[in-house]
Amino acid sequence: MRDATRLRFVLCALALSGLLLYFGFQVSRGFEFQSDLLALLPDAAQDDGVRRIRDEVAARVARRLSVLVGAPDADVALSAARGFAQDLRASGVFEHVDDQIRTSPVAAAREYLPYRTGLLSEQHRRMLERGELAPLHDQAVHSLHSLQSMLRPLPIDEDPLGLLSDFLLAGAGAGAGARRTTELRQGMAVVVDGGMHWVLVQGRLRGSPFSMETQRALTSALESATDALAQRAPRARTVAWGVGLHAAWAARQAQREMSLFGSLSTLAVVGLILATFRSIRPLLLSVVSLGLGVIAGLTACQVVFGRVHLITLVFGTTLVGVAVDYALHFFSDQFRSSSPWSGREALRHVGPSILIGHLAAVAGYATLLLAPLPGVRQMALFSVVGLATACACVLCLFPLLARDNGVREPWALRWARRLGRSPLHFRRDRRHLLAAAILIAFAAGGIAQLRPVDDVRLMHAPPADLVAAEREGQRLLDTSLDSRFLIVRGADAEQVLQREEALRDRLAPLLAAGDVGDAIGVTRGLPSRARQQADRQLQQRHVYGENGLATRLLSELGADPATTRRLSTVDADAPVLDVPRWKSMAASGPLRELWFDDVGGGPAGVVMLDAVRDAERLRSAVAGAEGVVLVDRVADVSALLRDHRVTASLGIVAVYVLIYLALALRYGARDALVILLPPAGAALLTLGLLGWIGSPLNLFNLLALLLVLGMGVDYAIFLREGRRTQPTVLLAIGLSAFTTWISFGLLSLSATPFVRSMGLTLAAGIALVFVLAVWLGPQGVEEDA
Amino acid sequence: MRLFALLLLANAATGAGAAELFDRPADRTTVEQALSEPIGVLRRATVVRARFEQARHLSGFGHPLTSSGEMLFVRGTGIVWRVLEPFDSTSVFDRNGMRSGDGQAGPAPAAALRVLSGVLLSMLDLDVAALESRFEMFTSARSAGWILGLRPRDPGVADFAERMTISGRATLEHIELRDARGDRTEITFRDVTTAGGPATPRDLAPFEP
Repeated sequence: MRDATRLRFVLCALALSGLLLYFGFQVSRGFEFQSDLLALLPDAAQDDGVRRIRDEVAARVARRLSVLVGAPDADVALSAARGFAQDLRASGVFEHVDDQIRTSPVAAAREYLPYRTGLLSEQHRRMLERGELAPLHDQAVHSLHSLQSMLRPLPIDEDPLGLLSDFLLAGAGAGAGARRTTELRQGMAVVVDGGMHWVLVQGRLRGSPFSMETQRALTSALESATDALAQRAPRARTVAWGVGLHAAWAARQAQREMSLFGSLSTLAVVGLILATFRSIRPLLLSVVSLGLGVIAGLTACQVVFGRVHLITLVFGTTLVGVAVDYALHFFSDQFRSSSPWSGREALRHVGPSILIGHLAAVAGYATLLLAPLPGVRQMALFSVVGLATACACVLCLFPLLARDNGVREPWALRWARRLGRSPLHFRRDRRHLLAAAILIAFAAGGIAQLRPVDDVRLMHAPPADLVAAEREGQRLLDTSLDSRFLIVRGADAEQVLQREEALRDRLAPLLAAGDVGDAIGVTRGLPSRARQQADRQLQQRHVYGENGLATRLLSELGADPATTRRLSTVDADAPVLDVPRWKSMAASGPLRELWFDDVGGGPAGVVMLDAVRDAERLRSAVAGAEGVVLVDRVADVSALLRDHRVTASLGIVAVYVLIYLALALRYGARDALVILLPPAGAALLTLGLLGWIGSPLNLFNLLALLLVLGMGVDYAIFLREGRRTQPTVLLAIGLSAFTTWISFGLLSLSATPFVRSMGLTLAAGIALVFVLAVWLGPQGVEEDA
Repeated sequence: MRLFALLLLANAATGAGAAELFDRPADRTTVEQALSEPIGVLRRATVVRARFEQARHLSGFGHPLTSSGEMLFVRGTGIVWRVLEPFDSTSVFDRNGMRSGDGQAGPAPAAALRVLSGVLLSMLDLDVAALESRFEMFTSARSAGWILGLRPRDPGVADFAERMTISGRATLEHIELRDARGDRTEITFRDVTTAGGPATPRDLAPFEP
């Protein structure tokens, strides 16, 4: 026996030294943290191609930062924006920062000119198809005499009817500079609004906005650029938005919470241990067991997941309050009798129940390990490994390190004794039955009011100022780029383009009704070969040639015969615009990013959507479109949270049944029921409480209830196992429930909604399960006997 | 034939004049001094009316495309440009861009239309500060009246109007725009009348959305 304890001590000490060495090695190489909240969720993409495009588009959007620099005076605003852009550029955080809109309609028209006979705008195609030549003629004549005709990118002798001009205006030039409310000044996009001139500056981050290094650099670059701006132009203002700012805020918040919750939990634990045991040794040993637990949890997550998520660390602070249980239990044993106490004796006495309790808690976390959510699994793994390590410390190291410090009757034990003797224990009299009935009614009434909410907002609730800036920016620019977009795939480029054209036809009524603000895809600048050929036939029949509309118009207006002749003999074998040619044109500009040459099994095009007002109509409009996938990450996340919520509620029932069966084997069918009653009651009361306070039900409440079960079974088992020494057991459970409650309760202060949900549920659940365990548990009669 | 020769001569003269004009950059104060008379007239007015003649000299055409009509300029509001010959068509320019009454003008990019509208408004208003933010300015002495040369600072504007001149005596009488291809648009205002006092509802009616 003696040798076994010593052997365990040596082995455990060796293993922990190895852990420390490995951890030190990892830290020296630089620990990498993850802060993308969506990384906590599983990937709903059906296939690799869709995933690749989705990730690429998401990464592109995530790396964009938009800033509007505003001042009452136009010139001040323009020079302020130039300076601001220059400062951002100089920071090195950005791949590039644009204040100049570089699209030149004239240059674009030059590039498109060789292909013009195959290019028509929707409107002109319709007119030519219907043979509406007279209106087309009149339109051209009016246009040529108007003031605004000087804005045409092509001269009359090259595009007399304005067909190519119209094609270009209708699509190819679309970009930030062509927005409805912006105008160009000194090459910059300017919005005039309420006496302010706002100038658009856009940047693309060099690194991922979810890397903490980029976040720090971005924050400081923005701050110093804003400070410099305030010096140069005191009346200037900025409105900045972008995924990077959200990510930076969320990461900062997580770090703040991690250190706040961690230190408060630790403080509570330290205070409690000192107050109870009035000795430094238990404190030091407890802290060592907790520290090693945290280190082991971190290392495990790093090894298994590659990167540790910041939210895992926030959740991980609860390890302090939970893992300290084992140490509390262990040291509380010295109050059991007045005879001299030793660590070995404690091991013999409370070792088994510590182990059972540990297994129950681990079982609770292990059920979370089964959840198909990477974030939850990471938190569970962190906790399981952390708890196991802390438990191993207590069971293997403490027996040889703990000393009797002579304290026998701390105030806490007196409290526990009083609690144990109090008439609070359940008995079948009218008062207790009435209380039970009230609780049942409370739970039932609250549960009836529960409303499920499965929303991406559970993952991230941005602060009001960021949201306000984003709204203001989008209002000024009259845009709201939607997170939804469409992917069009096909066997070859031609098929993709044709499918995208078919898709545009499906979307046309939605665009006309304003249900979708805009749909931007490559076919705006690059029609399919089939369409170009059809449009060429239309133009050859009606526009060019001896008696074509263009020829007639030119002679009517008195053009030189040479000009007219040149247009009447348009080359029928002119080249067709194809993907490689189009991509090599400067004019394809931002649309080029929407084309993917090969995503496995063929190319793909992306259609970005602006201001989607009727998502349902969009969904039904694109349903059944061949080769088209609607990517809707927000809806995917919601569906995922809903599905998992349903699964989790079934899972909870299953876990209860399993634990009941396991308990029944040891304690018998009836006592197993009594042991399970506190956690089950606490779970129902917590749900009722959530219902009464109007907090919506989500997946994370349910996952938290699994943990309540894990902890709660502990308390009931400890009380049951330790009947004979009840006050000390009651003390140990009370202390551990208190520290656990503090740790989880702190989570309910988190800014991350789902962490808050878990915190709230756990805080309520742990408090309730403790009260119920004491109320419904065995009465401490044996101690007096 | 003699007329033709005269025209040629006149063209050459303005061409040389223009080249010279664009050698003489001017700052805001100089321009405001040179234009003090028409600016003074304008500042007392709220509404300006005129008849206009527009000639577009386009490559590939032996003679210009001409049109004429009436112009109404309500200061601080916008311009109603009504073509009467060779056909009837009305366009309204204001701070938000341009609207064409009959929808026959064909589309132009909204951003470009706002720029054009803004430029026209500041030219008719002789708003030197606003012009300065968009153009480099040039002016030269004249025996009678004034002339102002404008060269866009904005490459987007330069695409369509490489340089412009506006000139006149007591009022703005002549606008000339020249694009990078050499196409030229000339606008001449006649029978310019100004009126003070608030604009009448009838004047403002075309600007209602």
